[in-house]
Amino acid sequence: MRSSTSSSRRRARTLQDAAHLGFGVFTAVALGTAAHLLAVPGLWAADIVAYRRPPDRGSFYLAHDRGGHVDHHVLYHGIDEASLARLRAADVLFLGNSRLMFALPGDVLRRFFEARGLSYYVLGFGHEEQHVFPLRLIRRFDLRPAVVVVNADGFFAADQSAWAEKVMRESAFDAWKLQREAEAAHRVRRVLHRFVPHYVDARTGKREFVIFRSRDDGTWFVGTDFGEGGAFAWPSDDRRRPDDGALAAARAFEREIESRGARLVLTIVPAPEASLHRARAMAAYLNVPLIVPDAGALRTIDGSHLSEESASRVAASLLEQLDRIEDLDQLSEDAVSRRDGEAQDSGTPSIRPHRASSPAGERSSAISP
Amino acid sequence: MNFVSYSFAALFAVVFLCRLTLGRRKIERSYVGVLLASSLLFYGWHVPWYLSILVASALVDYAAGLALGRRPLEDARARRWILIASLCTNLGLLAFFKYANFGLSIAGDLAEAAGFDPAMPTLDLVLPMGISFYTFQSMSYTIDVYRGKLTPLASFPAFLFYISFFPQLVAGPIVRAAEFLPQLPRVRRLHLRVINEALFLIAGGYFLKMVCADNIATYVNAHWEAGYVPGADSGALLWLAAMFGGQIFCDFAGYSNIARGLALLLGYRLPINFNAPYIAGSFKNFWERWHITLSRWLRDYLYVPLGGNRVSPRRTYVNLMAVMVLGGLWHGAAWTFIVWGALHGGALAVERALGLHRGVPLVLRLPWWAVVQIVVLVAWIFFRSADVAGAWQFVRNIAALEFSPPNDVMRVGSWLLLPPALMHVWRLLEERRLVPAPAGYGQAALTGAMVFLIATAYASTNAFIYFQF
Repeated sequence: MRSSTSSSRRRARTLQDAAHLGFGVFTAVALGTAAHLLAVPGLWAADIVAYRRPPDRGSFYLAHDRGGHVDHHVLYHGIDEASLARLRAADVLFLGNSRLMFALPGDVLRRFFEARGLSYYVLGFGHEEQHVFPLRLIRRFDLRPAVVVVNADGFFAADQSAWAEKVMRESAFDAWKLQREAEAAHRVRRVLHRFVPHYVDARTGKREFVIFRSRDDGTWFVGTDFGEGGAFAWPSDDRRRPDDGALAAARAFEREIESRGARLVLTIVPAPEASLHRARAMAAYLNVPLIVPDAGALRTIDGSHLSEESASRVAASLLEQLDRIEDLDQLSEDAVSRRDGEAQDSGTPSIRPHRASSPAGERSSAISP
Repeated sequence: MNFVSYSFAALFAVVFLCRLTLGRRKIERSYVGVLLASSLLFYGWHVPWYLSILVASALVDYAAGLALGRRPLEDARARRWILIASLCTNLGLLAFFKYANFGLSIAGDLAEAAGFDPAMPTLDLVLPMGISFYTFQSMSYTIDVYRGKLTPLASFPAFLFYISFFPQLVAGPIVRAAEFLPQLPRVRRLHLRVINEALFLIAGGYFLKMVCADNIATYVNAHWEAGYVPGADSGALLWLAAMFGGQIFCDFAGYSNIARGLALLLGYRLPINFNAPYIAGSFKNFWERWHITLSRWLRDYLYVPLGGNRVSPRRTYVNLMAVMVLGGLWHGAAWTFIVWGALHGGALAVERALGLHRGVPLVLRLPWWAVVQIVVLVAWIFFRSADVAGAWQFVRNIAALEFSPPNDVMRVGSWLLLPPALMHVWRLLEERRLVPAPAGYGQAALTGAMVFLIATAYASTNAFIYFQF
């Protein structure tokens, strides 16, 4: 009798506990549903849900979203084989900060360089990265491009960003973990915020940069749709000059680049923070060409980075001028002979790069190491 | 591994599945094996080779425990040497990884003051995660065996499991062997009631961390350094200090709650680590509510052996200061932590001198509570600042009492202090028996609401503050 009473009590307690658990789940789901139904129109256009995906997802990896900034780690620790191979094979290397990355759309560059049978890689970084970190990458992977194009927008300085310091302190294992975590967070958040909003963003109006990086050429694919943005014009009263430290850093950088057989070309991506005057002074000091893209009226998405449409025009102008400054046809021939030489040294047959009429598939094999 | 990470979520999912299948009574060997392996994976995920430090530290204390167990209490001399060897190893590891660079920098400063120009090296060391926590845990075992309060463990895997049990491994609570080891052979089935309690703790912990602490951190990190500039607004800095007080509570209490909840799901009970510290009416009471397991450790293994309060009043004050300064230093190798500890030590000494440690008279309760909280707040400024000079300027700016009206940032940010404030008020009312502790449907509704808020109001993740200690 007693045992049946205690067993029924136990059952009742279990039922009560199950009801409590169920009520907790119900509360979470009910609040989620209410949030979903009562959401302010537009709230669902959270960047993590609404971003555009890169056309060929296999050729890109997630470089940045709220889950973290990943591409510093991926490139420094060489954890993406395809990216590393392309980086090592680059004839033309572009270096600079995030403004350069926004200004060089992959499709514009691809058309231009494929037509000339040259390989290229855009090795710019966010975090206002300056020359120290990319130079370390150049040394680490013994990169030997023929031309290095630098966005002289505060690029030469004695230091690297705090983020780059962290990246260099960490191991390849840390980089691998970071990339996996970022990708998992990206997927979970993308699904989660289809159902419930993110109130912090909704309250602050903060936009999220969802960026993918191409394994083929290092360019960024900016997934977030920032729209047209605001108009931009170079400041008329710009009289900023490079300081002695920047000049010394630039000279040392130029020497190292030249010792690797490359020519240095400066450019300046239009931006309110950039100084045309300073870039000119820097180019004159180094006695290297300076490309100032001439692309008409420009717009920025956030007062700093060029809009997609402006970026295409800036990139086209930059490349057109690069073509005039550097003898790219000759460069192409040199690149071919260099690869032939390397191929003979290693005893493998060489593959000549194809010119404009060649199919893309063949071209890509031509620039693979 | 960080509790706020997908790798941890995956690991815990596997371990919990094993709890449901292999470890239904919790004592099955295969289940304990899974817990030990996952604890080592959890720790090795940070820097794999640092596992060797953890294992070495555990081995030393395990061997010391066995050696102590083999010698009778009368063999005091040999026992003392065994204890000293164990303590030196543990403290040596801690000193090397945590204080070597600090020591070198002090030596460099002293040499420079003496007219030398030394080029002191800086060691490129990554602090092994949680080393301060597990060395203290390890030491408590050896000291308890030395004191004859504990029988040494015969099994090294069991001892390693006690040291490395992952919910509490890297940021506490600091669990004593006497609290944990008796749980090893105890059968604990997983009941729905336990699941409800654990989920409440886990949801509360993640809510405090991801919604409160991480969102508050965006304000604190963005504006803290403005306090180092002379002439900064007193009101804004006071607000920042209060925000940091809220952040560090939410961060650390959040971690402790998650740890306790996870352990509960796995069949173990960990001690409470935070009990609404900002309602403390005295400094003594503050340390009975803040980082409780560390306070108890310092009291039992440092303060009491130094003589505690059974010596002359002057010596008692010295003991208090010494314990609190060492407690400050335990948090990190920097002068700011030493000042933080000294402020608390000084405050405890003053409170004792005034006789308020025995109880605060009714009329003084509110004013003394205010004094306690102001001192705690000032101490947080030193704790958070990059250096003592910066912290001192921060305090001077507040003391100038030049207040501007609060701006929008302050008004919005202050809402984030509401949840921890409500928790404190509820706890106060609970202690006065005016309201019940959350239970049943109320607890379930709170759990559900916190899960919802975690999903909709999380901030970008920051590592737990106490991971660096």
